[in-house]
Amino acid sequence: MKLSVKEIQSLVDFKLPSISELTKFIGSQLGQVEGIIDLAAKFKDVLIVKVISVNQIDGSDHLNACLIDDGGVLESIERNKDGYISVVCGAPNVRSGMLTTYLPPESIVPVTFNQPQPFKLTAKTFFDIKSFGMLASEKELDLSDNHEGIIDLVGDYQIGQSFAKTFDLDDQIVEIENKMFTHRPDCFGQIGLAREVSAILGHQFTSPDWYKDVIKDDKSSNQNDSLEVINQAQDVVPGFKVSLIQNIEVAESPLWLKIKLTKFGIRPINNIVDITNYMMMLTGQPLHAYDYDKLRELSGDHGVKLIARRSVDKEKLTLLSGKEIELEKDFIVISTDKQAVGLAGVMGGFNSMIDENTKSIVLEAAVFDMYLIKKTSMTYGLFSDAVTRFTKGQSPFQLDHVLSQTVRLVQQLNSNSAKMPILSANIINEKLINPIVQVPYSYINQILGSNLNSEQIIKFLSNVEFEALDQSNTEVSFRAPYWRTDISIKQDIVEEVGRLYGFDQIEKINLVREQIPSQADFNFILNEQIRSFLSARGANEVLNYSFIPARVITNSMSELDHHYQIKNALSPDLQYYRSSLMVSMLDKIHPNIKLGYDRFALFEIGRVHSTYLGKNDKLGVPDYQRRLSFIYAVDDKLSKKIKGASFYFAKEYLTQLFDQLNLSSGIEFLTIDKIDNKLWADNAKSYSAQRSSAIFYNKKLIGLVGEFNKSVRQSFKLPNFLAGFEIDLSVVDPMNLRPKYQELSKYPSIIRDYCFAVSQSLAFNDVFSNLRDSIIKFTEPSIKINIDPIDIYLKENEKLKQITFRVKFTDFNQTLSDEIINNITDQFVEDLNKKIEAKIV
Amino acid sequence: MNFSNTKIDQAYKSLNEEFNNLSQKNDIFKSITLKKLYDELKVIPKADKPEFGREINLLKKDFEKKLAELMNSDDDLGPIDVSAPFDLNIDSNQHPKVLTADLGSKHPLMSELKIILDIFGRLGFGARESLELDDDYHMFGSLNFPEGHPARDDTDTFMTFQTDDFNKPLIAPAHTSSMQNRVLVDGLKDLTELNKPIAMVIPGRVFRNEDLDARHEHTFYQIEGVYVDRNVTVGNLLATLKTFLQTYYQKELDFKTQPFYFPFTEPSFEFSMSCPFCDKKGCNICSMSGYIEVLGCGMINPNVLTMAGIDPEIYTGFAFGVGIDRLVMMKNNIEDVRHFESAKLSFLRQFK
Repeated sequence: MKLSVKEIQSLVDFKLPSISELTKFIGSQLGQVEGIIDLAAKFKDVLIVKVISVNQIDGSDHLNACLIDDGGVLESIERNKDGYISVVCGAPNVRSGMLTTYLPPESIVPVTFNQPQPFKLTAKTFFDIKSFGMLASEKELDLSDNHEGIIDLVGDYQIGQSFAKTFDLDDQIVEIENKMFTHRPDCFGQIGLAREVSAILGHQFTSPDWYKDVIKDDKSSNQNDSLEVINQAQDVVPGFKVSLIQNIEVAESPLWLKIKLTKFGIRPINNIVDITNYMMMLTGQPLHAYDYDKLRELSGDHGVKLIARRSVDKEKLTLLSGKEIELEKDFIVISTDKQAVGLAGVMGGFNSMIDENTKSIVLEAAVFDMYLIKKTSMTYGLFSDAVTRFTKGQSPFQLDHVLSQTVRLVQQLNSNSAKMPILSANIINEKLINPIVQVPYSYINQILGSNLNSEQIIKFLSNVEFEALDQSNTEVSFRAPYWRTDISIKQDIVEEVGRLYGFDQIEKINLVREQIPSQADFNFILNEQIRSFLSARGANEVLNYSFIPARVITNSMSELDHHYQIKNALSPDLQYYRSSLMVSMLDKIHPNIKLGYDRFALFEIGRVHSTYLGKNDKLGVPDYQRRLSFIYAVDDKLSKKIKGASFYFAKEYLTQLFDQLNLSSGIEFLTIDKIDNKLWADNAKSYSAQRSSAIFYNKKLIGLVGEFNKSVRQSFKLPNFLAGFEIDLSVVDPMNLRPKYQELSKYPSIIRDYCFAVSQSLAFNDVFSNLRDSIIKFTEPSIKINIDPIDIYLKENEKLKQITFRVKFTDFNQTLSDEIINNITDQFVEDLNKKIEAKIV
Repeated sequence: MNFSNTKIDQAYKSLNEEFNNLSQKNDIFKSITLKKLYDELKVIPKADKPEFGREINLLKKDFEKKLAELMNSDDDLGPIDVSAPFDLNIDSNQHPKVLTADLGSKHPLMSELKIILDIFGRLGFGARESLELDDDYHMFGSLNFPEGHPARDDTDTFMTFQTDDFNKPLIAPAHTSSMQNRVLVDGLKDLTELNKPIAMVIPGRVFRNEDLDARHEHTFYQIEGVYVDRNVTVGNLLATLKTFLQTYYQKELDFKTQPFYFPFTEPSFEFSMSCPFCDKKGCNICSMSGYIEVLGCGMINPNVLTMAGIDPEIYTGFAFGVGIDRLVMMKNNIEDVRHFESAKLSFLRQFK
C-alpha cells in the first residue's frame, strides 16, 4: 500500500516528522516499509513559466522559437536583454501568454527518472537558434500519456514557482507491505493510514466530517422513477448502493486530480473514473461508474434495473479490458434484468462502461464477500486495485459516506449536473455493527508484559477513534469505529494497545519456571548417532526432495498407484510423495559420477509415504516410515580394480551399523522372495533378484540391501558397481542404544584358524551358524568364543567351497591349554561333519 | 571373430574358454595367454609389429565389449550368497571396507538443526518432529484460518488427490505451525494437572508451491516454537527469542519488532536482529540495512488455544517460526538455496 506523506499531512493537524523518522515509526508500529519513492527529487527542477513570444522557425514545419519568462529564478542561464530564456518548442498548442511547465538544462526529464539511463537535458541548437531546456507535456512529466501538447496551466499561478511545490509533488511515497493489512481495509486508504500515523506518533486523529458517523437508520429507498436496485445475493453482498447523476460531461480531469492519481501510480482516464479512483485511494472503497443510458438499453421493458446476483453457469461477460469470460455459477455479477454488466468486485463490463458520449452515470458503492471475490480473482486470473481492497472486508457503513462524497466531487467538476438521492438495495444488518469489547487493564498488561495505566490505554485507542463506552478503575469497554472490521475480542484490543504503544518498548523478561528437563524426541538422538557413524566412515549425508516425478517411480519399476499424488504443483517434477528414499538416491548418482567423483557413499535419513502404510490413528493422518537409505557407488573405470560384488560393500556398512545400533543379534539376510509386505515388495522391484537381500530383525522385515537390476541401472545411467540399502528406523530400540560391552578376561586367549570344505550350494550363514552352535555345544560356558570368517574359496570346476574361520577362545577362570582346545576341536569338527558334511581341510 | 595371425587366433579361442570359466570376468586381462601375446609382440620382426599390435588391440576390445555386456545383463551377473560377508575368492586385503573418514560429511542443514535444538534444549524446550503429509484441519482449521480464508486457496500450498476423512485434500504443510494444535493437545494434561508449561520446538520440512531460483526453494526447513503457561507475556516471547539468537550467534545483538498478521497469533510480529555479521555497519547479508528479519512470531490466538482445549482465560502462550535454510545460508555465505537438496558432492563435502 502506498502512503503519500503530503496527503497524510493534509489530513492531520500536527507537523509530521522527517521522512526517515516517519518510516522508522511506520516500520516498527504499522508494517514493513518496502520502499520510498522520492517524488520531490523527480520533479525538483520543473518550473512554472510564462511563454512571452512564439515565432515559427523558418525552414521547420512545426518548430517554434519561444522566449519564456522564469521570473528570473534560474541562475547561470543565458538570457536575452529582457531577461527571457530562449527555448525551441514543437508543441502545437504553444502560444504567447500561456503558463506552462519548463525543464531547464541539466535537469532530468521526469518520465525517464527511473530508467537505467535517465535523460538529462542540455542546451541545443535548432536551425541556428539556441534552445535551453524544454517546455514539457504531461507525458514528459510522467503525469499521463498525453503528448499532444505542452501543459497549459490555467489559473492563478506564480511565474518562476516550483511546479512540484505548487501541485504537492514535493512528496514522498512510502510503500508498506500489504500482508500486515490482511484484515485492515481502512489501511488501504489515505484516511486510514493518516489515522494510524497520527496515533503511532501520539496524536489524536479526527476523520473528515463526511466520513465519520455510523448510519444506523438507513432510510434509502431502493428505487425512483429512473432506476431500481435489487440485491438478490444478500448473503454475499452486504452492501449495494448507487447514485444516479445526470447531465455530466466526460472529459479530461483537471491537472490537480491527475497528479493526485499519478502519485499512487494510477493512470488518469477521465474525470469520472479518476474521481472514483481518487476516492478509493482516500478511503479504500472501490467504486464503479456505469453509463446510465447503456444500462437502459441493456434493461428490459420494465425500467432500468441494477441487480446484484449470483452468476449462472456458462454466462458470458466481456470485461472493461476487452477480455471475454465464461462464468461458472455462483460468483457475483452486477446485472440488469436482462444481462450482466459487471463482474462484482473485480471488473466492470464493457457493455456498460462510460465513454466520451456518456451523459448520465450510475455510481455504485458496494461491499462483497471477501472470500468469494478472492476466489473470483483467482479463478479468472483477474487482479485489480479493487480486488486488493475488496478482499480485505470493508464495512458497509462506509458506503453512504464515500458515495455522497464522490457525488459531491463529480458535481464539482460538472457544475451543470443533477444528482438523485442514493438508492440502497440492502437493509443494514445490525449484526454488522461492531460489538462492545470489555477488557480489564490488568489483562492488557498481563499479556503484553507492560505496565500501562488506564489513561494511557484509553488514549492509545481514542487516538484511532475507538469509543470508550464504560470505564472503571479496573476495566474499560470499547466499541471500535465502523471502519474497523477486525475488532471483536479482547485480544484484538491487546494487539492495538501493544502496537500503538510500540512492542519494542516492552521489556524483555526471561521466562521463569521450575526446572523441568526437556524431552527430546528419540528420533533426533538416533539421527545424530547415524549421521556421525556414517560420516565417520566416509559417507556423505544428502537431503532429497519428498516429491518425485513419475519418471523416477517408473524408472525404478515401482507402481504409481500407492503413491500420494500432488494435484497442484507448478513444477512437473513434483508429482508424487516418494515411497522409498532409494529412488531419489538413484537419481543423484549419475550427476556426481559425471563430475568426476569415482567412489563415494551417500546416505539420507528421511520419510516415505504410501497408501500401503494406511492411516496413523494417533496422528489422524496418513502414516509414514522413518528410514535410512545408503548407497555405495564406484565408477566403471575404477570398479575394474575392485574384486567381488558391490553388494558386500553396502552390506559391510550395514553390518557395522547394526553393531552400532545394537541390532546384530536379531538380524537375518534372506532372499527377497521372502518379503511379506506390499510396500517393501514394491520397493524391491528396483533390486536385482539374485544379488539382493531382504533384511529381517527378529523375524520382522525391516529393509532391503542389494544391487539394482539391469533396467534400473540403465534408466538412471548407473555404474555397474553400485549397491545400497534402505531400512526402517522404527526397529531401533531407544532403550538399548549403546555399544555392547564384553567383560575383559585376565587370561590370554587362544586363536585357531579352521578351514572347512562344504558343498557349494550351502549358504555361508548355514555354515557359520552351525559352526557356532557346534562350538558352543562342546565348550564350557566360562569360555567365550569369537568367530570371524576370513576366507571363502571355490576352486575352478570343484563342487566344494572352502571357508576359513578364525576362532578365538577366551576363558575367564583359567589359562587355556592347547589340550583343551584340541579336545573341543575334535568334538565340534565331528559334530559339524554330521550336520552339514563339512570336512576340515 | 577371426584374426589373420594364427597365434592371435589361437590365443583368442583359448581366452574365450578361459573367460567363460572365470568368476571374476575382468581377470581375463590378467591372463597368461594375453601376456604371452604381448611378449610375442616384443620379439617379432619390426615390419610385422603394426599389424600384430592392431590385432591384439582388436582382441582386447572384444573382451572389453563382452565384459561390458555382461555387466549390463542380470543373468550374467549371476547369483551371490547374500548371507556371506564377502565374495568368493577374494584375498583378505581386498575384503569390503568402509571408506576413509576424510571423505565423509554431514548435511549442513541437519548440523545446524542440531545446534538449534541444543540451545532450545538448554532453554527447557522439548523437541518433536513435524509431519510431511498433514490434513486440512491441522494446516488451517486448528490455526484459526476460517473456512474460505484466502490463504487456504493460495496456490502455494501443495495438496494431494487423496483426501482426509472429511473429503478434503491432504496437505504438504507450508509451515511447521501445522504442529501447534498437536503440541497443545498433547501438553494439555501436564499443563492443567501438573502445572507443567508446554515448551516445545518442532523442526521439519515445509513446502511452498513456488518456482525455484537461487532464493526460493519449494522444500525447506523450519523450526516452530510453542510455549504456554499462566501469565506468559509478549515480553517473555521477545526475551526468549533474544536469548536464542544471542546464544546462536554468541554475541550481543539489538532487536526490532514489526507488526505482522498471522491468523494463529495475536498480536503477531516479524522479529529482526541487528546484523551479526557486520554489527550494523551494513553488509551484503543484511542488504546494507544493518538489520535482518529472522522470524515470525506472536501470542497464540485464543481461538487456537480453545480448539486445543486450553482455556485462554487462564493460559496464554507464544509461538514462533524460524527458517533454518536461511540461517545456514547467512552463516556460511551460501549463494544458492538449491544446493541443499542437490546431493552435489562438491557442495556436501565442504561440510565435514
